Amino acid sequence: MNTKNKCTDTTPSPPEGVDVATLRIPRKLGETAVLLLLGGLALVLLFQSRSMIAHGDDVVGPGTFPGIVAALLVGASALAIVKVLRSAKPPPVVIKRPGALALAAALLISFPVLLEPLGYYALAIPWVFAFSWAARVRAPFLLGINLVTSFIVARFVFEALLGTPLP
Amino acid sequence: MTEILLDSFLGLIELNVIAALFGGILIGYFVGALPGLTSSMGMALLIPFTFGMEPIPAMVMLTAIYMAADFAAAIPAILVNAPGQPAAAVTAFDGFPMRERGESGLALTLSVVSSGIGAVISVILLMISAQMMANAALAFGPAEYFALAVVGLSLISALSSGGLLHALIGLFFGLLVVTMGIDPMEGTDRFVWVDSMIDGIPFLPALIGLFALSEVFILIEESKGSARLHSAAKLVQPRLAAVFSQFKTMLRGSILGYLIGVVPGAGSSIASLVSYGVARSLSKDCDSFGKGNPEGIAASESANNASVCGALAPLFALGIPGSASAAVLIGGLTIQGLEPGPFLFAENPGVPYTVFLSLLFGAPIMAMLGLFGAKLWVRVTLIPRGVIATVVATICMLGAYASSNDVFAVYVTVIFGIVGYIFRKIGIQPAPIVLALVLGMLMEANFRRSMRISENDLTYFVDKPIAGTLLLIALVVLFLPLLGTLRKRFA
Repeated sequence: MNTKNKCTDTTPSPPEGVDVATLRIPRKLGETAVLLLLGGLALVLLFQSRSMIAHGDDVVGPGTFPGIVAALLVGASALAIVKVLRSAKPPPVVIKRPGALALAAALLISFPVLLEPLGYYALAIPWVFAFSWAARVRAPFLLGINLVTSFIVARFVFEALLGTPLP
Repeated sequence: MTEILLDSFLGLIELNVIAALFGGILIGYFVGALPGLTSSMGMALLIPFTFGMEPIPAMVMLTAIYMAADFAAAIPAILVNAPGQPAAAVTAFDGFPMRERGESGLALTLSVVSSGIGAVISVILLMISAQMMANAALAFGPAEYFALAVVGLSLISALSSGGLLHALIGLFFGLLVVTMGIDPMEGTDRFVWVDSMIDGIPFLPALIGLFALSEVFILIEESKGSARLHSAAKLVQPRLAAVFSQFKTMLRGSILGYLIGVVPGAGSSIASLVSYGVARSLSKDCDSFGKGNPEGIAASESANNASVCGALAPLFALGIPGSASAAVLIGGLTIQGLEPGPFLFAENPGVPYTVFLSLLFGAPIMAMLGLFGAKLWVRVTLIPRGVIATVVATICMLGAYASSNDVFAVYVTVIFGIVGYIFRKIGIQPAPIVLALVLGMLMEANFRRSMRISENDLTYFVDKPIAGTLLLIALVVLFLPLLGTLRKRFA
């Protein structure tokens, strides 16, 4: 038996986690839900692609490639669903600070909605404060840093240097 | 070739190019030193800033960010056991134990010197091989390009960290997204649900969403106020002999790293892991790996930096990115109106060669910054993640808007950011999606061209020797893991 290169595993262990608000979603539920949505979207696109007819002598038309890919995505999603449902005890999907993440997502969605009605600078002040709050920035000094940085980047980099007129 | 190199060198020493190189190095160091930010994210965020730049300074800056981030990532890995980039996690295996026994100076010097040697050797290999690849690719037709795209995507899937099935799901999702909009060959609407989708899903906002904005959610999850630095390590300058005793390992790591980097989807993490594994298996003192063996640092750092140039080779020569970060560079090239591939070498040789030379001359600068600025860079880890998350989110919104002066681009970034985060949570990484966005158009267009040329004969792909061989490689890469699983099940 060749033991010349027999090495023990000396990989250091990762640092311990911090105790925070956590949402644990059973993997079978979470992953299946996402994959069902994905598979459903692929199915819709598959049916839509069937109506895209090739012209002339072409067998391969505008709907061929997306149709094949959509079918593959439906198949892969189905396989992944079966795999996760059959797995013994998969680790849960862990989402830390779900409230903060939900707020951040809502703020990100609201940004393009409000950008043109309010204009960038009028939107940026409350938005940056609210986003900083969601990101657990509480110190006034750091809130100020965020606001000033956002202003400098928008005014001097995007508008002045790159010539991008902001709404 | 000499004339091209001379012209490129003269192009490199222009003030705007030198400024772009220094700027890229500083930004790359900042991004690399900060755990939570990656080079691909940094480049994705900076691409909108390159709109107003000339092509050469823009590409010099972006590639400098790419390489400098890998230089810098080892600093927090060694000093505070918090790798700045995933590839530096391997460096932390031995780097942090060395720091704990008071050898931070040697560890840091080794990492920087190894990175520098990896960078220099790989740039030389890049300059030789990229031209050869580009010359070979001039003979490629639609069938070969289709097969090359298939191989690229299959390798990415096989090597993805989330597992093959999840990588394929990400891949197919990316390929579907790329088909949305007007069909380029027949002008038919494909999945155009709102008027803004006529031109398809814009690549840059999707990239910013997938890489940068999805990471913002991770940063918010991990935000916990200010970080605390470990007691400042006294950095003692090591003897040069102690550093250069690892030269053989650095050389081996550089070559391995370059070759692995050339493989699409492999990337720096795999390069550093493989090089570390090889060094350990060849060492007479393998049990000391993971406990502060300097050879571990030399192996991983030389490989992960060399893989950067490896990934650039297929990118510039064939238009196939060797890594997710290289895929971001395609966005940079596209904005400058340049198409990567053999015609770039034929029509604009100054661009790739100036970039290569900038990396060659930039490597010693990066090494100096690392050697003399380590204590400064490690303080970057003190920046609260909440501040980084907010600033990055703001830049994402602005960058997306600036890409087309259209609020639709911001919607795309937000949607891909949220989708990217959800996908990460269930194990679908952004890299296969981004690579599919890059290669999908190439794949479909060349497939349809081939079918037209061959009058709808599928054997056309197999009849062409290069295309046939590449497709066979793709099949083997995809089905080999499956065979392994079946063998284990029935063993």
